[in-house]
Amino acid sequence: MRHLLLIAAFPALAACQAEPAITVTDATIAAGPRSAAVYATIINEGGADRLVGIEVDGRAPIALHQTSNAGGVMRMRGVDTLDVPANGRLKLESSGAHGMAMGRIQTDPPAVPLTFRFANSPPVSVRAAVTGPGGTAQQP
Amino acid sequence: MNLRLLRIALWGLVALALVAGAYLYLRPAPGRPPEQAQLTLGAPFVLTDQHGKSFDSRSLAGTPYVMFFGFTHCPDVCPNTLARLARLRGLLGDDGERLRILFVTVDPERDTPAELARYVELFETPVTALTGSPAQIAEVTRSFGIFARKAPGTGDDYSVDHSSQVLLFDGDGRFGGTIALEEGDGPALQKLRNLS
Repeated sequence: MRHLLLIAAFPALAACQAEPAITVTDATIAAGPRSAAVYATIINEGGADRLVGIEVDGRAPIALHQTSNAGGVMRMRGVDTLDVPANGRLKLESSGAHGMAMGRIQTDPPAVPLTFRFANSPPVSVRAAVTGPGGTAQQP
Repeated sequence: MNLRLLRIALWGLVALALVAGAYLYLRPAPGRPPEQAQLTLGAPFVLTDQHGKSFDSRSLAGTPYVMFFGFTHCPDVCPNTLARLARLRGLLGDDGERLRILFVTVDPERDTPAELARYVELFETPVTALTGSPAQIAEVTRSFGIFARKAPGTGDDYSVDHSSQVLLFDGDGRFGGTIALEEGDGPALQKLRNLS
């Protein structure tokens, strides 16, 4: 009888934990003449998920990158996915995980639509503020 | 037993020789203040600036300057460092106007003078951007102790791993330390003030 109760409780437990509930805030594109970085905060109020890609305006895919600075040497490497922890957040930020677009991003209009795609959750679209490289005012 | 004593005595002599050698190697040269030996970094160099003109590092005499090595295709650390240097220079007030910012590419194959010009003008502060032949850049990075190596990539789509520190020099060309990527603005600003 006790076993039966436990088995009955499992689907309810799974339903509580599995559904990621994701919002994206503070999306910014820092655009240089030859490349652009994408920064944002991805907040997850549900189960664990993974960021699998970012798209600008439904076009150019943005690579996911991880920067490290071990021993004072800056290294940037492409990664396939970035973990979005359960009930936590993934920060795409300078000197850490971030998105990178090669080439010049079309910065007109000034707020660019970005779509974040996830392994489990539906895509999230936001408008990103655009700055020059390093957050400067001038855009290429 | 005698053999053991002999072995200990011989190792003692080896240790003594090492200490004596280290002293002879590290002691300051006679008549020269010890700090000068530690305060030089890098050899004079000639590279090409963003206007396509020859730039001789000896022209920096009398001017405090900072050197940062990076590349224009770098989306994250390089532009953030240049933007930060521009901001810190603004905070220095009058001293900031004397301070020169040198940006030396570690990607001479893609960073032509025109490419550098287009890039550094976005930082709204005077930056001297320098490029050269791959051999010239290799020589300058080696001379300043900067690590730079092309990361795996395809065709023109590659990153360059490189040292991220900013090198500081005073008006006499003496090495004044570094600013690290993770260092706060407060200590960084103090280091820049110490140059003038």
